[in-house]
Amino acid sequence: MAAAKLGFAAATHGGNVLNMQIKRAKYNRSQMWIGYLLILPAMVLFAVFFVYALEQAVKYSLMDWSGVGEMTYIGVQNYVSLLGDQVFWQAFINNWYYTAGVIVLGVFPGLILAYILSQPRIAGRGFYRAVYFFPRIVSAVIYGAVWKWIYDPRRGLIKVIMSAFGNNSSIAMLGDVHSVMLGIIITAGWTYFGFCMVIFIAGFTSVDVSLREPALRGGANRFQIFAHVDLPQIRPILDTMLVYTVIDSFKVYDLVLVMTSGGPNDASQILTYYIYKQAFTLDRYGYGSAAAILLGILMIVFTLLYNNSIGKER
Amino acid sequence: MRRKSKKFNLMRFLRGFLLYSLLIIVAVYTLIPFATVLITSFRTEKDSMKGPFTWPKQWDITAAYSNAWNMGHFNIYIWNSTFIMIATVLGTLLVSTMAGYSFAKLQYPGRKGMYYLLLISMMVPFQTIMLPLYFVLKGIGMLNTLTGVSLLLIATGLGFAVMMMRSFFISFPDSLLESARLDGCTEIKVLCRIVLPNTFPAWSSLIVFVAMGAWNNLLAPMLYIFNESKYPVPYALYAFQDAHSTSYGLLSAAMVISILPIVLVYLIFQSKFQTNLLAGAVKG
Repeated sequence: MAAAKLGFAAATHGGNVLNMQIKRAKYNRSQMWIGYLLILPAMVLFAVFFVYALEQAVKYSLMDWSGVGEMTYIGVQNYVSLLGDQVFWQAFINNWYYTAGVIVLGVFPGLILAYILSQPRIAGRGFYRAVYFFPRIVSAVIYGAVWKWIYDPRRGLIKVIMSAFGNNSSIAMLGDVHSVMLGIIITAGWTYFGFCMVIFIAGFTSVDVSLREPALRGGANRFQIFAHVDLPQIRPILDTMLVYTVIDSFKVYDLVLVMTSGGPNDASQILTYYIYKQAFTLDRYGYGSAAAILLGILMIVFTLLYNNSIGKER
Repeated sequence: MRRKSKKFNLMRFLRGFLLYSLLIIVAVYTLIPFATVLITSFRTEKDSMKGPFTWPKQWDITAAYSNAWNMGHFNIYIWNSTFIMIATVLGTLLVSTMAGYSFAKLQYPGRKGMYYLLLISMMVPFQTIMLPLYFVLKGIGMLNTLTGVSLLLIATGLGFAVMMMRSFFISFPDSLLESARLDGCTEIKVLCRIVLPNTFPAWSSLIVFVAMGAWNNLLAPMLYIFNESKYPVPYALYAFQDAHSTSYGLLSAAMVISILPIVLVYLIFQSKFQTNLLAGAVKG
């Protein structure tokens, strides 16, 4: 998913402008009809499953509606109560906490591992790459459940290790309002760092190695070369990856559902699950839709920032 | 001189040792959860009841698997997931190849505008429109059907797929198309004879993306499928976990069963997939 999103700028800015200008004078009639015919299925799906759905979502968000029966128009009342809803803000803050955690435990370790694996003469590079990436292809239903076992206060891996060192206290990682987000974040970082690594390896392989020579002769050590020669060259990819991580983190759903369902006491509530719960569990369809629209707006703003940042780099 | 080179080697040895230790520790960290599942699935039920992180004493390679398979009806769920996966992949390939080619290589008014419009759908998360989509599926009579979920996955993944196919076709040499046109080929013939036979590299990475997304999707079936006989694997596994939360052996076997098909797809397309991920990143 990310790869093509990262290629977003390439796709949108790379059109053959020259070619278009030559041909603009007169469209070839048969080419025109074939052109429209070929995009027809895509545009029909787009119209029904996106444009219409989005329009309906905006409409619901202005209604008091329980899914069945009459809708009552109440204007922006849903949005107003949403902004005064403590759980909504809790979810919003948790999403940011999650994002920051994934950056620390996913993006940065991925960067370091990519740097190590892109050094010459590393044996088994392909093996490490395949292993580190593997969690990314597995469903959250599986790894979320296994990490729940690891955190289990009575039989979990953490408990087993603590007992081995003679410590008989136990930590309820996911049962405590203070540590539950940390537990989710550690799991999320575990699935994410390999993916980041694969992206960063691409950056490091395209780094201009000839710049390292003069730095080495000037007496720079390895860390200095990394920080001042290699890192600046892959800054564009790092920036892109950070913004992508924000967007991806606000879409997280499965992992929280499987591990905690937002609990205990809404301590691990996140926006997507909050929307789901309002609409489908509490039957507050209008209210849930208002939250959904706010999430959508947030994501559009981020994507625009993201494309903007790519645009500047080119 | 001799001393200096000896010292140098020691430093190198130490650095190498630390480096490989780090790589191996991270690999172990990555694999522990999977190893735990695999080992637990091979223990006897009584043995695994003690917890997944106790030392295994009794082995029974097949018992948990046959139990999970029979109790979990995984043959049905795997079939359901396979149907959704194949339908979504084929549908996405068909629709996005057509649209991607059209946006990249054919000239007509409104082309750019419609393409950018389509891209907007990538910005909006699925959760924003999941509620109205319930009524869309209901309206076209596809609620609670595998076809409906597949159609929905095709539609919501379309912006991404079209973008990917378009960027592939943009780099397709125009000269090939022009010479075929000059030879008197119709547009359809150009597409079928010249373009499609060369599209496989782009398809193979799109297949992995779409197949992974379709196989692992949990939310769409949760919202739009109500009959247990129509559950795909992740949703069935989720329900199964609820019902057997402490039968570690049984759960592990169920996890291994449900992980295998997508691992197979990954292994088949893996090298291609990572290469394309890399290519995409460099472009960005």
